Amino acid sequence: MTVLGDDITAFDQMRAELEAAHWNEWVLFHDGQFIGAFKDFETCAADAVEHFDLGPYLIRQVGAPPIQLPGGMVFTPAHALGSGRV
Amino acid sequence: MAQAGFKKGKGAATAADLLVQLGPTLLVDLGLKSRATSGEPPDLPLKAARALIDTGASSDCIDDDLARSLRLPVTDEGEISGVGGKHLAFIYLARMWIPSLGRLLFQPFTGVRLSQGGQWHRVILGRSFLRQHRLTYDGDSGAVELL
Repeated sequence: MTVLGDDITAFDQMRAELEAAHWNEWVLFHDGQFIGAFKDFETCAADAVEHFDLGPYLIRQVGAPPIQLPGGMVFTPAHALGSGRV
Repeated sequence: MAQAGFKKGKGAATAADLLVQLGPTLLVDLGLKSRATSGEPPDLPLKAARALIDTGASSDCIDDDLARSLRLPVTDEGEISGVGGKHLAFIYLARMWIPSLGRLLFQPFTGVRLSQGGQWHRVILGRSFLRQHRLTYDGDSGAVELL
């Protein structure tokens, strides 16, 4: 199932740093490497597709809460579940 | 301005009935890359997918089978939980073109099992999409307008 394991691990290792320097920004990881931080999703996504095409790559908004889905469901990102859950 | 409601009924159902049954619906094009040349409207692989406007969702969703068939990149993974239990899920990246609004945007879509659940819609547009719009819902007439 895990497609982005290296990227999620890298994100978790940098999380404190990212939250201090890039709160609310969108960050891009590829092949376990931090690529950059962007002010908006559109710019981050465009950069990801331009450089890494179909990926996979991790795109996350730093500090974003879980996603509320229809019918009372919730999407919780892997980093909020603890290591080894996904 | 885009129309997301119903102007006419079908059979015994009025336009207002259809709005209750189906919900506010936009037709959107989806894919990762446009095949159009410069100056032309975007040409994405999937045309006129039914998208439900759902103010009960914070962000957008796509049918998981559809996302895979379009070969959309996976950009995050996690867990969906709710009244049906919990399961693992992906977030996909897609371009979405809304002809009726003339709007092209990149969006993250959470993969959900719409087709497996027999849902009429292939996409759900939540509050993050609506953030730049004004939605007018007239349940009495069946009309829904999106500015």
